[in-house]
Amino acid sequence: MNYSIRLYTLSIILCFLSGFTNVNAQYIPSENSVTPSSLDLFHSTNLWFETQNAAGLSSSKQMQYTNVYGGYSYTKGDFRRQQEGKKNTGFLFNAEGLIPLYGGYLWGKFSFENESKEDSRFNASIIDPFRGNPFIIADDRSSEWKLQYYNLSAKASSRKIFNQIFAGIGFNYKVSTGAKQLDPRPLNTFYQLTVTPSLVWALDNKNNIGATFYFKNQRETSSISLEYSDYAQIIYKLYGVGAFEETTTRSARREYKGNTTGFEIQYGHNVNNRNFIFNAGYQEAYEDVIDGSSQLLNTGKTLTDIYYASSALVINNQESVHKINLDLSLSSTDGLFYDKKVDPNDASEYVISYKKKRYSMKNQMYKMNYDLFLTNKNGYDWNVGTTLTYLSYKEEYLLPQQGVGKSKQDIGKYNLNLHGKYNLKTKFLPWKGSILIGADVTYSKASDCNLFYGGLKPDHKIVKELLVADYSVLSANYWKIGADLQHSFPLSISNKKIEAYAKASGYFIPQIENKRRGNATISIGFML
Amino acid sequence: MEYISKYLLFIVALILTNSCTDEKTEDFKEVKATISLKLGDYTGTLSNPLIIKFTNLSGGFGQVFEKRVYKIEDIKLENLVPGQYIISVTGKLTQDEAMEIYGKQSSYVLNANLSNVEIYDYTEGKPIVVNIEESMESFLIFKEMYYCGSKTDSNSNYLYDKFFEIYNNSEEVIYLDSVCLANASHSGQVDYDFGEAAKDNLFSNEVWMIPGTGKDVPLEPGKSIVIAISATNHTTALSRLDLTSSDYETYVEKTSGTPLDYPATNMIAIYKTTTTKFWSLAYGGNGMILYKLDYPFDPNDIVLPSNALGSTKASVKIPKNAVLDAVDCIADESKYLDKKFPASIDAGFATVGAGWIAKSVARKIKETTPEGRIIFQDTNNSSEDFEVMDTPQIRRYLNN
Repeated sequence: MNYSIRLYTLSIILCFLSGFTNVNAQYIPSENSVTPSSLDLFHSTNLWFETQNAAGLSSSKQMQYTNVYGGYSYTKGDFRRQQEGKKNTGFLFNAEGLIPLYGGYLWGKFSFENESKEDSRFNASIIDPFRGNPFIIADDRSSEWKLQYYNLSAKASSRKIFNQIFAGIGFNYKVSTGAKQLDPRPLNTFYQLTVTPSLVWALDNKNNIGATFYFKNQRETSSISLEYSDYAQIIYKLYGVGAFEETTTRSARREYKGNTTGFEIQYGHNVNNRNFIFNAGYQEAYEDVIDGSSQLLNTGKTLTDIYYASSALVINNQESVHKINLDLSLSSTDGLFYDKKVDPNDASEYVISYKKKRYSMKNQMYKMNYDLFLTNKNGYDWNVGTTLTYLSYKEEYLLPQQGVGKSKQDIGKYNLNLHGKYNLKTKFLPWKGSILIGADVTYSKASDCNLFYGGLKPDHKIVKELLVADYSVLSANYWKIGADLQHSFPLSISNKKIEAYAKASGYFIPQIENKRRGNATISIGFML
Repeated sequence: MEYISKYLLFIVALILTNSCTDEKTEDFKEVKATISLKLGDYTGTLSNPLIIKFTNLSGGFGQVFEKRVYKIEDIKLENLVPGQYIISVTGKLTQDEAMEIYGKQSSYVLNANLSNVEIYDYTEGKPIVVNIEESMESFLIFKEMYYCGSKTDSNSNYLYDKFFEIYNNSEEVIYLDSVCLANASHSGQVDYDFGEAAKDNLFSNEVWMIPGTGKDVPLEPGKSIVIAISATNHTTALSRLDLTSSDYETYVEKTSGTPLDYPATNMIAIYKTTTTKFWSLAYGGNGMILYKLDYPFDPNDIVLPSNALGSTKASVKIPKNAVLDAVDCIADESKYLDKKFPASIDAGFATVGAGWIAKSVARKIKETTPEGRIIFQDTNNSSEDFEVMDTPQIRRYLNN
């Protein structure tokens, strides 16, 4: 019920806001060229684009663009969760574009990343151990993971049908592969297909109502083997909040598979120079966790409900753009514990004997953001903004042992971010280019954090070196300082104006309990 | 604008009402159980406590708790974590109680062992019947067992440094002539089905006997013998065990190959169906049986399990009442279903946890007499009686 009250309250505030403001369309550069700052501004102010409603692309004029870049990323440091790598490196490639098509629009994006994650611990079964599934097979050896991520997305919207309706469809197809380089060695493949058909109903020239249906199917298989099979390796089947089962294996197979269904509704309002959108959605997901190769039986299952809502207001004056965002998302995941017994009809097989909810995770996120852009004919001269985010993660594991009600971990975090960018244009720059200089600083303040492990093995490495070590990172107060530089310059190829660029960005988390972490990413690309 | 706001709120409310009332599954909660103890027809009280041990193996968590009772009756338990349990019972009768219950004034130990006992909310109304079995106290016992093997310096598996140490836990001399050492028959996958014969017998397809004519091999109280697979100094094995002082070895006569015939007295392979030129014991544990027949060994007293495959060899029958000691060694705690013996033979199991790790299981010391003789713990429950040793050692604690 708490969720309901919060959502009702937020909805009232948002509708109240929209009723007192004049609103309008997003930023389109007046000069016919795409620059880093114009693309930045376009994405920041394109409110329908931030929803999953593809049809919304047609509800206002869009900027045609292509942006292609490739780069290299390097992250290193001990201030990390154990399942993250101590040193992560990767090459990445990204191509994105938006074009008008038969009176509507077509947007597409493809990205590829080749990542090497070194000294990651306690994960031997899942490509992304932080995607909300507590059922993970782990080992305790520091190991390297080699990962590849492919991601293809598209959105297409129609012209206006029956003078009132836009139709659209979006899809996203992700394939990832991962291989751990030390025994036990999982070889993982992850696939995910998301389809989002949508409609926008233009009530009049100012008001639009949209609806999006959401369907996602995903599957991850992990085949664990040993290169040195003489030694059976110790593995831990994790169940959440330090609960685990210890066993040995020479080979194992685990599969995660599930579906997500949901829908979103949107309300958009634009008048003159002001543009407002409200978006709310609900998703329901399940994911089976299945062990075995000959006989497939559930080890666990997750059931997830996600509620989210967001609203944004953009005020586009002649020389400046103001943007205000309010976002919230609330999610609740139940982890079902499955017990097995020998099949009374066939002693070589097992059957499920019991199934109950033993794990739960509740996440909350509330975010407020304000950005100010001082615009020019082709982007902005500078931008400043601030974001305040509250995050809460609450995990529980029921009855970790007789007489103990639950193990639990509560994390609350306030993140205050200040950010700014300055678009430097001077004759001293080569090739008549410009440099977009950005800086941001975030202070992350922990609040109401606590950890209680009620299980049988408080001195085990799964508790001390995973649960407690992760908790110390999650509950730490820290500063994060980031900066980026993007040097762009115009080129003309076959009478086409192209903006080439080179970009360097990074962040640094200064020392927290003798641990720190930093990232540097460089890329080159072009846009037109 | 007003009507749009109302419409929007209505839709949000609809979503929330629909979702928040969705009760998907019940919480994992504590449950109750009733344990119904049975000791034949006896329903009285006992002088020594019955120790009932509950081990919850669901999820591999292995939570253990004990309850001590003095009366054979129904026991009601509350606040149990749901799961599949092993329930084991150990106890000891006084000679007067043994006389009253069994008509014999002897030393009896009591045991029971139930595996895969389901304790869930849906079993709350059904009593769990635990039939307690009696067995005579044993004086000749396994003292230390090194069954898992080792590795060589070049990381190959090493089979030949295994040993079994047998100890006289009594205050009288025991003659070892014709005492047999055997490993229980096991298919490795599904338990063999020996039908009616299983009621009174254990089964083995490899039996080794200590040579002797009756009183050739005395074993003094507090002394032990060591039976090695190969009685040599295993310098290439990571265990670095020197077994040259072993009393016996299980040598198989052959013209070439290892292990060689070393100076220790050779045991007699009175029944051997495997084709290996040595005693090939599983690195993941065996059900080990020490027994002595009061009649001549008959190699034709054999039986084939009803679920035998084409390659299955017949097993020799070992009468349960001839068993002096038996220890169920298994690969690791999660493989408790691999147990081969009933509770009257061994109510628990012993394990070093993995193969090829050069560890042994050794019996715990119960007490030392004023004369310095060690009495080892023997409750007929190997889970209680044995502990894991990081380094196998022959004649540990002893001077012989």
